Amino acid sequence: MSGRDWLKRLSMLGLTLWGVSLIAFFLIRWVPGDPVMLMIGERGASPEAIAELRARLGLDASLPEQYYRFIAQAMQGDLGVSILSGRPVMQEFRERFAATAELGGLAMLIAILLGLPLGISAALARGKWWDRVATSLSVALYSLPIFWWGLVAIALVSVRWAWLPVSGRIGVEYDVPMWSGLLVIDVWLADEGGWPAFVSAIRHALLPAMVLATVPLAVITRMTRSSFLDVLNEDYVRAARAKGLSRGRVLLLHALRNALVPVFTVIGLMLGTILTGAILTESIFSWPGLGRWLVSAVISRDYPVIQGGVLLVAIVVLFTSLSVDALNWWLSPRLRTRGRT
Amino acid sequence: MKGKRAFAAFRISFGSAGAAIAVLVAATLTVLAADFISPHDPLQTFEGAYRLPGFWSSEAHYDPRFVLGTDDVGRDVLSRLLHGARWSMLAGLAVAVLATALGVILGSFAAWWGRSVDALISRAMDVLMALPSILLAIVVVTILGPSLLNAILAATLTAIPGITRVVRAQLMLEMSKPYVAAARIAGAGGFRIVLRELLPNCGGPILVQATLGFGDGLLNVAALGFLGLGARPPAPEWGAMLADARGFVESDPALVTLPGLCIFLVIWAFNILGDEVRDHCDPKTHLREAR
Repeated sequence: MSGRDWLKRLSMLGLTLWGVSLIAFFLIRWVPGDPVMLMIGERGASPEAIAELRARLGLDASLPEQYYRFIAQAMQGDLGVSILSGRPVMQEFRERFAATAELGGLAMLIAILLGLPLGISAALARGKWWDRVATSLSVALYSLPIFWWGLVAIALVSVRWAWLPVSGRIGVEYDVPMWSGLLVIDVWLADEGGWPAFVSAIRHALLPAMVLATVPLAVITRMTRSSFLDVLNEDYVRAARAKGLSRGRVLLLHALRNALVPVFTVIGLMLGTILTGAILTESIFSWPGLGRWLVSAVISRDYPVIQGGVLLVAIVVLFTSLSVDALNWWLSPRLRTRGRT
Repeated sequence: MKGKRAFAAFRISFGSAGAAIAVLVAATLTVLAADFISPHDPLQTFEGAYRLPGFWSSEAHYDPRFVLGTDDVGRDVLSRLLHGARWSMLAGLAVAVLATALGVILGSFAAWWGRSVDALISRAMDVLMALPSILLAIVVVTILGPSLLNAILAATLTAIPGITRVVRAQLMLEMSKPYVAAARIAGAGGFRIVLRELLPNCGGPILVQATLGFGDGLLNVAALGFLGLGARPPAPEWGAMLADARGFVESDPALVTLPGLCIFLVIWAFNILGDEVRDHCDPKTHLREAR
C-alpha cells in the first residue's frame, strides 16, 4: 500500500462513519415510542410541560434539522446529553468504555495466552492426537452460545462452588475514585486497598472475561495453527533448517515472527466480536459496560446516547482495524514493498 | 463423479464429520416428526407436576411420564425440546436462505455492475459491519416488534454483509479468468455471464457461507429469544426456553442446561460441516496435505 492508498482508506473510513451516523440517528427514531412520554411515564403531565420538555431536549425541531445539529455538534466533540441521566454522552461513554475495555482486555489476554500456545503446539503435532484435541476444542469453543455458557458458568463457579463473585466490578468495601476508569489501574493510583483491591477487581472480571474469551480463543487457536503450518512449509524456513540452525531457533526466530502477522490481524478484527459478545456477557453479569449502556438506551429511547454511543463504538472499531493494518504493513516488509514493485 | 468425491471426502475424516452429520440428521428428523415422537403436547401444562426432575434423579418424585422432567409451569421438557428443534432449525434455515440469496444478489451487483454500484454496496456493508451486530438486531426487532419472524429478519440483516463480501471477492477473482472473456466475446450478456458462468464457479465458497450462516442464524435468533426479543411465549424456541429457565439455574440446572446443549450441538454440527465443505472445495488444503 502506498501513501495514496492510505489516504483513500481514510476517506472511505469517513464515508463509513457518516453512514453509521445516519443509521444510528434515523433507525432509533423509527422505533415506536417517544423518550419524552417514557420519561413522564404513567404520571402524565400537562401538554405545556410536555412541549417544554420536548423543546428543551431539542426534539421539537424537524428531523433534518435535528440531524444537522447532531452532526455539527459531534464535529466539535459534543455528543449532547443523555435524556435519561442528564450527563454528557461523552463522559458516560468514557466510563462505560473503560469498564468494557477492562473486561475485553482481560478476555483478549486470556484468549491470546491460551490460544497461541494451543495453536502452535497443534501445528507442531500436526495430524497427531494433540492436534485433533486442540482443533476439536477450538470448534467446540467457537460453537458455545455465549449467553448459555455465561449462565452455566455463574451457576457452577459463582453459586455452587462460590469461587468467584457473581456480579459487580470490585468488592463493595473498596471505594476507588475514577481516574482511568480501569479499576485494575485505578486501585494503584488512588492507593486504595493495594493488592487486595487489585485481586478483588481481577476476581470480579475473571468469570465474565472467561465467558467472553471463548470465541476469540477459538479463532486465535485456529488461525495460529493454520498460519504456523503455512509458514513451516515456506522455503525460507526449510532453508534455515537446511543450513543447520536448530529447530528451536528456526521456530522461534524465523517461523513465529511471520506466522504471527495474520494472527495479529485477526486479533485486531476481533474487536467487533468482543463488543458484540460484551453486549450479551454484560447483560448476564450486570457488568456496567458499553453493551448494557446501549441496550438500556434502546429500551428507554435515549436518542443522544444511541446516536452518540454507536458513532463512538464505530470509530473505535474502524480505527482499530485501520491501525492493525498499519502495524502489519510496518511489521511485514513484504507488504511494504508490494506497492513499489 | 462429483458426488462420489464428496462422499470420499466425508469418509476420510469420519470422526467429527460423522458425528456432525448424525446430529443434523437427527435434528432434521425431529423437525419433521416432532408431532409423532413427542410424548406430550409442548404447550400442555400438567397440574401439580411443576419442575419435576428427569431420569437422572433418584428422588422419589421422578415421574416416568416426563423423561427429562417438567418446567416451572408443568410442561414436558422433552416435548418442548423436540418441538423447539422445529422453531430453531427453521429459523436458522430461513436466515441462511434469506441471507445467502440477498448476499449473492448484492455481491453480484457489486462485482459486475460498475464501480459506482460497487462503491455504494461496499460502503453500505462497511457501515453494517461497523455496527455491533447484536445491537443492530435489537434495534430492528424493537422497531418491528418482538416475534420469531422479526428476529429472523434482524438476524438476516446482520448476516448479509459477510456473505456479500465473500461473493463479491469470489466473483472478482473469477472475472479475471479467460472463460469469462470468452463468454463475453461469444456475445453473452451480463446477467447470463453472472448467472450461468460466474456463480456456478463460486458455488463452493457460497455453500460454505450458507452452512456457517445456518449455525450463526440459529445462534442469533436464539440470542434474541434469550433477550426476550424472539419467539413469544409459550413457544418452545430454544433461546426463549433458556430465558424462561434463567431464574431456576440454581434449583433446576437441567432446565437451563438442556436447551443450551441443543443449541450448542446443532451449531457445532454446522461449524464442523462448514469446515468439511471448505476443505473439500478449497484446492489449497489438498495441496497442503499432499506436500
